[in-house]
Amino acid sequence: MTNYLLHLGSLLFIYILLAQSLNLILGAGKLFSLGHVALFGIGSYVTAIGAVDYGLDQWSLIFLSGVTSSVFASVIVFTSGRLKEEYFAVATLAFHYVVQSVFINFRTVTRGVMGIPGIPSLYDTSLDMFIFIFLVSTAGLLILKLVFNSRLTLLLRGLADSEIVASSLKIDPKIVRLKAFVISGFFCGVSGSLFAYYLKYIDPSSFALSEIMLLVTIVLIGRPGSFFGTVIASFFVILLPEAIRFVEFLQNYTSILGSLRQLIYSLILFFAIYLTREKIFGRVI
Amino acid sequence: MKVEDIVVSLGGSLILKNLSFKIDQGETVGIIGPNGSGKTTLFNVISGFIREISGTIELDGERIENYPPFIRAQKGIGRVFQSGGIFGELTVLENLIITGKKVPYDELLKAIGLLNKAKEPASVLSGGQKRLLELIRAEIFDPKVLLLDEPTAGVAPNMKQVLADRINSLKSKTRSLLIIEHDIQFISSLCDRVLVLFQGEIVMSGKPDQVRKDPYLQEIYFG
Repeated sequence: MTNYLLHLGSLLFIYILLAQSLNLILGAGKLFSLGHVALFGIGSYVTAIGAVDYGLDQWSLIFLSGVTSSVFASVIVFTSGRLKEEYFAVATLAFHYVVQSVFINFRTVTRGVMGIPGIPSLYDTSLDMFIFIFLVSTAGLLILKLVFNSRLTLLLRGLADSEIVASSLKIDPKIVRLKAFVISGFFCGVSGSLFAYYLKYIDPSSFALSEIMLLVTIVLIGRPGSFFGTVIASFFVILLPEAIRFVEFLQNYTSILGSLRQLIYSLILFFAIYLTREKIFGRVI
Repeated sequence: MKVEDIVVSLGGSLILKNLSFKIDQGETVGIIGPNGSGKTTLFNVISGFIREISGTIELDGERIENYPPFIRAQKGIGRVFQSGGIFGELTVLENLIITGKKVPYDELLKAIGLLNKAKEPASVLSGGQKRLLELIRAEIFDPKVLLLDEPTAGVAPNMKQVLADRINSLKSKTRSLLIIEHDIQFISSLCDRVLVLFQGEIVMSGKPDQVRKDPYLQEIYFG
């Protein structure tokens, strides 16, 4: 039972950091990015390849994963930064599929659908691994909290409110979005790195599009742009499906538990989008 | 600032036709004209939101017509919008903090009677309060040329004098103001000179009283 709780705790802190990275872009910036799981995956692959093929140490790889995801995040801004709302979402969706296609087909490096096993264990016990993930994630969250309180986030919110007014106030939309994406991408990469170290095996299925729905649900439930809301929503969204496992009357229906969890996610996502649609899209849809 | 031979065509229609004028440093110029005469389009051209134009715009001898809006703002073009010029989702205070200038925000808000609303979303302000907030924000930026697009539109009559006082306080020897306004009396009290825009052309220019008395102005407005 302790190991199970530590497992949940480890995943939780990986996802809080990842969801908070998305919250900066989707919540504060109202940019509906569907590319954040791809950035997360890039971080994971950098760590997996760096650790397995090149034997690099964890600190170098966590940093390298963050930087690599940042670089790819800046590619999103350079290619799609001027697109608005749903067009931006579609462009980042395309980015996701391109990256996932590379994970699957660039076999000489990523080993395709076979994935990369044998990522070295950092610690012998689950508790030590949990503490490591907790500390790295918390450090990342503290930095992100400073970012949320900074002028950059205010500019991002201003741009989301009115790009025309922001431009007339000497604000360069592209630079603001670039900075936000670089920061957000960095922490996607860091959480991806923690994910690879934690699971010790990654393959493209871990970075499927469905994962973005989990993150979007967290951000929407937590109130877009709210730092603490996202933290609390992460607990709710990550732990709720696990809690269902322990509901007694469902024990005899284990075959439907998987689909039940999907159904719950879908319902939560539906209501979260319905209630926050104006905050995300800036108009009633 | 010098605007020369500006031609703007939108959707096949000629909106501005070889428009040229000059505004001296420290001068306040009013622009009047019936709806659809191209006044707001002219402001969009000067501030860079419409860049598909021919002609030139010079600020302090530098050509700026190819720059995007934020660079023109950096060069000294400020703007107060006809509507939607504040960030409604930010608080009143954040609307000033976003400028990044180190100024006593509390004192500025107190001066326009909005200190008690500092933490409220700016969207809750009345039309006149929004305009005051925008004027204060423009003042913080200290632009060389400030474009004011119908500052009294949608504002309660009792707020007009407050706005006029605020606009008067924005005047300085180094700052030029360009004001679009329908209220001829309001504009006469503020401006050194008035340009009359009609069907994309400047058809009249002169002292406010002189323009106001011209029968051609009545003809333009009332046919």
